[in-house]
Amino acid sequence: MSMKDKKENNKGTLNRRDFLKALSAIGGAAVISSGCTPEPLDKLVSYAVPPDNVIPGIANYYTSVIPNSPVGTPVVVRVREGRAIKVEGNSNDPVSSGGTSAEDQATLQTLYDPDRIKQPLFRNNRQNLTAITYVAATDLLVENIKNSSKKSYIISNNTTGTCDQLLNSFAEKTNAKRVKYEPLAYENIKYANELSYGKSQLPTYHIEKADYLLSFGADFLETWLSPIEYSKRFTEMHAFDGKTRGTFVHVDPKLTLTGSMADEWIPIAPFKNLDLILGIINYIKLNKLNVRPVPNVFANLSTYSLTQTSNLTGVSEDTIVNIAKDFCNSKSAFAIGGGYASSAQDDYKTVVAINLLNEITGNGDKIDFDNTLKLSDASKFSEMQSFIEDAKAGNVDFVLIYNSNPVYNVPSSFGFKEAFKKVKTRVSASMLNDETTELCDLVVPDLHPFEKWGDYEGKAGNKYIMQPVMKPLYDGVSIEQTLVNVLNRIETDESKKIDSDFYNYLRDQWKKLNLAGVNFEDFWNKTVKDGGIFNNNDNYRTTTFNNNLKISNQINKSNNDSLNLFITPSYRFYDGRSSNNSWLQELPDLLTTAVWDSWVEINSKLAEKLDIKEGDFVELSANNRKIVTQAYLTPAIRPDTLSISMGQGHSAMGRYAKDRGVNPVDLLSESVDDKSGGLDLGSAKVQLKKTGNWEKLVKVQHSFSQENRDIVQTIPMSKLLSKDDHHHDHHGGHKEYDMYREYDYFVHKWGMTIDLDKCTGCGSCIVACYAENNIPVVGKEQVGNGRHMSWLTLERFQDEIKDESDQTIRIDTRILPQMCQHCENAPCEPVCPVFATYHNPEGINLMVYSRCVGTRYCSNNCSYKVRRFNWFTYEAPEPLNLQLNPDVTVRSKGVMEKCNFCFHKIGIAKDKAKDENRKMTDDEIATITACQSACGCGAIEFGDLNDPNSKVAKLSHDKRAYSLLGELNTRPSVKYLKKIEKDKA
Amino acid sequence: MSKKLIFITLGTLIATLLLVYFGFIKEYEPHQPIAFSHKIHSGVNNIPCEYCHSYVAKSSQPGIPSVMQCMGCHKYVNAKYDSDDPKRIYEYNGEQIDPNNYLYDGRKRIIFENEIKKLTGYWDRKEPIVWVNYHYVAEHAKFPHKPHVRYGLECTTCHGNVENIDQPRPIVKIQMGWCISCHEEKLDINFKKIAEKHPGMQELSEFDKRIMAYTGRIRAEKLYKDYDHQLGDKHSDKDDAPKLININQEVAWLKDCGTCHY
Repeated sequence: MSMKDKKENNKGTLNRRDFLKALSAIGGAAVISSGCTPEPLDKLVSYAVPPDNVIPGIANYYTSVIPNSPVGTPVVVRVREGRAIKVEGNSNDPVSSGGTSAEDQATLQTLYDPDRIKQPLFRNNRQNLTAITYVAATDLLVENIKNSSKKSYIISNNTTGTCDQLLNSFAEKTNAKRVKYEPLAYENIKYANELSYGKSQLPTYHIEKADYLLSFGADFLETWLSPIEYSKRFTEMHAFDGKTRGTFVHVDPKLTLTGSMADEWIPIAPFKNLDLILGIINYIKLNKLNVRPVPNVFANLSTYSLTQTSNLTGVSEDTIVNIAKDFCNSKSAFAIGGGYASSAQDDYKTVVAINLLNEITGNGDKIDFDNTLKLSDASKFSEMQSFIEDAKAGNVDFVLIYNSNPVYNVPSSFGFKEAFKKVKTRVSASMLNDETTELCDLVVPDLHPFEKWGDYEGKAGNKYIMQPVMKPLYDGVSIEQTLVNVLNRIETDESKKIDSDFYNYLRDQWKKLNLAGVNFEDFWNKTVKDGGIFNNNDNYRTTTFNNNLKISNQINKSNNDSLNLFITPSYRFYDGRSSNNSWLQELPDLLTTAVWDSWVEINSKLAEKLDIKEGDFVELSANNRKIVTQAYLTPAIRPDTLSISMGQGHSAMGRYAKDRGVNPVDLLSESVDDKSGGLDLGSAKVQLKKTGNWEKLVKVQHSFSQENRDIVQTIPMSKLLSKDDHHHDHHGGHKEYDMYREYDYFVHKWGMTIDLDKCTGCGSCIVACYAENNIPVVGKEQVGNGRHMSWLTLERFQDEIKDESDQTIRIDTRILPQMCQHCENAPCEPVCPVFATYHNPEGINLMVYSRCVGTRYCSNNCSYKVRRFNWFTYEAPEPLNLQLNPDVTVRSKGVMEKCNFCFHKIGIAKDKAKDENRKMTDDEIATITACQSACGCGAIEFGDLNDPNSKVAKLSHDKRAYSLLGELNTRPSVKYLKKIEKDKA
Repeated sequence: MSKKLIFITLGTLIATLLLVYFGFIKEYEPHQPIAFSHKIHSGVNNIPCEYCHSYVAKSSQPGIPSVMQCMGCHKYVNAKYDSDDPKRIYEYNGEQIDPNNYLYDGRKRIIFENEIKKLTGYWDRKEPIVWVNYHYVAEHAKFPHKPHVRYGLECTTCHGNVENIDQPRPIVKIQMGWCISCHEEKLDINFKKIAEKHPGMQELSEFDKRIMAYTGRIRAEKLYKDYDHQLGDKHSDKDDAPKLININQEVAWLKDCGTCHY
């Protein structure tokens, strides 16, 4: 169209110029009017019938329990207006002593999981899952049970208490076989204890009584047996008590989180723990260091000469001698072992050897068979294997899957999936549509533990009540109630029917526990309020070692060509059951700081040889199966070992878990230890190949070097014990020249101390902080852009210490929990053009979100880089928003944020004290910050520095106290206590 | 300029004026689901505020009564009157109130019985009532009712005499200036009281006054040049600890942003 045509066409109509004029007028009007429309109005919704004990704006606290393996955690749940918003530990419990794990803290996201199954589902003729009612689901269940003529199975996790009892009577009624499938069932320990002590149990190891702890692959700070309990016990043993401090030596092919806490990490060839222990025992025997006679358990013990042992295990002779000597010369040494990752074929022998080592050195008295784990009742893996065989043969008609995901957890070489598909009726009772539930015909969703009644027993004698803290999110019925309904339907004998309400049934069971014979209502109310009944008795009988035990053992020379795959359970996802959880996905793995994905840890030197860089996609193949994942290079792993952690690689389950990373167990072959019945984790001899693809491995931290800035400081024991009282905390300021004014704090001066010697890096503080402060989850891509929002980070520094010949002597791992330091001379404050960040009269550096305009000057000027900027408005999908803490502002795009010492909680505590016209108590102050109350080992201490009697004031004047980057004269309110290191010999 | 443009411009102007009128000038009239009258409840029947807003002294939120609480009275009070019963009309503050023909909020005529029937309808359905909130503090400021009630403020100070108004409107613009001015006023009164007791107060610097306002304490030597240790706070047992004079300071110093914005 020519210009002329255009003009003619426009005749009589609006031309462009006029149109723009009019548009500007309309636009102007729109701008004016939008500025003055009344503010959008809020709704005020009244209760129809107000619930009891709920005052809007005030939190209620209810006890409950999180029945997560291995031992469950009793918790106190903070509930606001009928919504669980925060999990705190229950200090009545002697096992967890008020501590929680990262997984426990994140259970709220499981409760409000956007992918939860909302109602029962049934697979119709067109193979689609359709929603049905609970009544219809019960009918279908009853019908299917009646119609099944062949074998029935119930596959569940390790259920305990009343739920277990119900499942047992269900199994009895339906003639079903029960498989309590736990991927981490520690068959090796159980079988070894049966051989050594005649007890097929998982005992309590009293590591706190030792002053020399030797761990053979027992990752007791992550997943082993009872991690929260053991971190507490470990702290007791390892922390400095004013005079002495225990030594911890960890033997593992890879530096795990537990290993990084050790005074010494001994890299051992994978699955060679037995050889090392026998070498040590042989050395002890030859040098007569033993206090008790060495029974002839291992016939070939004498073949384990130092040279032979050293050759087998890759541990130098000197180290073996040192360990043996230290072990025997310590007042109270103790060896533990049997970690999941190292449980290869015949690993029970390792645990027997450990028991033997403890026995001959007179340290067997630290094994406590009076307080055993209920996890001991879990089925062996071989029982799962016999189900698979049964199902493959077509002998199984009915399977009920409860809280278990064998399709994901059982290595695919066993063919569980194919066998499972042959079962006629497959019923699942799961909260999430995971890999196993996907294959089921009938899904009766379970409720979250915070929505139902129940009980749980983690360690024998500690029975916790599972109390509903809120109404079920989707008006569901608990699986226990469904079981009661089904049982009563299939029971023909009227007299044998049980109470139709599960709550009453539960109470009936608990009547048996009312041993004191008090009024049951009083007993019940007290128990529910306390969270359960607890076994505080720490006395136990010692057990005698079976000296007549004979174990045949052959020395296996490993072939050196292939690499060993070392599969570690994850302290974030355990065995993969918590993977659909965005908090845990975004919680950086402690030692790699990688998030949202899988990676394979490769020794840097091996990688150099194979020309692999970090982020390269590598192919791992073993047993005709292969997986492709990204490489992570580290010196902290042996060159003959590759390591992948469990938990990722789901093909279903939900939006956060699906298609993310790889599942390493799929590389395992169909190999089971025939003696102990455990899965053989050493069966994957891997070929490593570069694929040629590269992508940035998404990590939170990019440099692990301290760059000689002495960020995480250590203090040798000798200096600590010396009489020299000089306080080593040097800060760069000179009072007479200081340009900053003196602050005068009158009432409170809030401060924090963090004991670097106690912190185990478990990450529960980080997740607690996410929950308390409405910290958004940003996702993998944004973390890759360096925009993760965590207010509290565990900075991890790893320095390789080399000798003259460039050989690594040791790897120095240091962890620093870092949050806003609340500097007195805060660099962020003077640069803010709008005074959005300022110093409050109680010493807290506060952020006024509504003032912030997002210049990010403060972050640029921050010496510690603890400020986080909202690049976007991050919104969590419904119903995750129900978890948001109403006391804390939800920040939006363009606002800076950071730790504020849980300022809102200080206000709540102050308000309560003022009501009662008193000062805040120490206990109250100790529960203010989310990180402190989540910490199981007492590394974090928060309090009033103005109060000379407060713990934090005393600790901040400790010999070990120092300020981070003190030479900058920022004068932080957070003081760190130096990590204690062994004196160099 | 074409005629059309003039039309458009004129139209726009009119639209602008209308928008300005509705946005700025005309007061917003909330339409509540039930024509609830504060005048009848609080004024005529003399029900104290805390009876219905029962959390005001316990929580940051005053709370609105549940339907059940309303029904506690309205199960019996149904305001059912014959139209020819002259006794139904009563007098309040010189005004004749007719339950069957009441001018609600000066804008519409209501019959009490019908409004109560709406309430019983909610109760029968066990349905929450969704009221319109038009008396609130901006979202980015945290305003707790509890400490204000604890201090002894009357509801009327901020909410006006609701006993004379059917549907009370905010008597002030709820903005930061209003908060601060009230707090400063109260602080001044407080300072004067303190000055009677401690004459040194008059010479205190503005900064020290602020600190005193924030913390409710002041170092003794700041008030007394010839400071005698006897006057100090007897609670502190350490000798080198600063001696503090406690001043019963109940009014928060609002120039610390974090008091309300966090």
